[in-house]
Amino acid sequence: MPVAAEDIVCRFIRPADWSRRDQRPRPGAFKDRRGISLWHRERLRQQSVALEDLLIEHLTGWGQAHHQAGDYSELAAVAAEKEGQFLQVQVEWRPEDEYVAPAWRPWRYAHAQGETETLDGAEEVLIEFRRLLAIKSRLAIAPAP
Amino acid sequence: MVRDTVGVSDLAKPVESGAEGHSAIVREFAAGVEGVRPGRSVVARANRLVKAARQRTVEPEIAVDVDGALSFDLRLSNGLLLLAELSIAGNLDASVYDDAAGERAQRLPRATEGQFMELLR
Repeated sequence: MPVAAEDIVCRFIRPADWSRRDQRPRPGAFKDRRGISLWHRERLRQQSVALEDLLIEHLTGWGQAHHQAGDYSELAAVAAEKEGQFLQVQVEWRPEDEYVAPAWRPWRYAHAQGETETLDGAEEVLIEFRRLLAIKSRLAIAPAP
Repeated sequence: MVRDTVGVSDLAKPVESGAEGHSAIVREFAAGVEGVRPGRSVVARANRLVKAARQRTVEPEIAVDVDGALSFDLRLSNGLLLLAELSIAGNLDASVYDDAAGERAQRLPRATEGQFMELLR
């Protein structure tokens, strides 16, 4: 089930994925070997949980990039048009165990994932998509130094 | 469609040795990801690219991505932005952007080391 387009989702940012020169996430912050793991800000708030509460263990001090869920599909369409390659990205609710690491399961109700659909060999469009996401991060909090 | 979970433990990769004499970032790249490591020639290439980037650009940003690729985010002397990635398999992908125009100025999907060095001049 898709997350409403206007809802705010957060991508946690590794220190290595933060550009100190440009003060925003690097495109690599939106790479994922599986799907783009995201957290729904309002669902956490409703349970009196802050996004920072999820930064446990070695994730302490990681940064945040916020988007509206609809940005993912919108920017995928822009990247697809620019590159002439197929790309669709939908932000879907993914609270199931197979998507949420054990340490994060107390907050599974707020977990979403950017599901990427592309054709083999369409690397250019993914590179462009990540670059656009990095630029369009609305609230980007730098990881702790 | 690609779909799976990201484990918390997946998100931090230890820096390992194995590329003695190289910088920490090259050693991290050499450590690989999920048991897949770049070959010696790829590590040597990474070392040369990192050295050149550090010598020829101001505030170079170089990192190992979650997929193990070595990524370069470099501001060139002509003001253009070079984004490049060296994959674990050794493929070098480079794109040059004109931020002011919001457009890509050049694309080298299978860049050679020579082409990368040329961009840094």
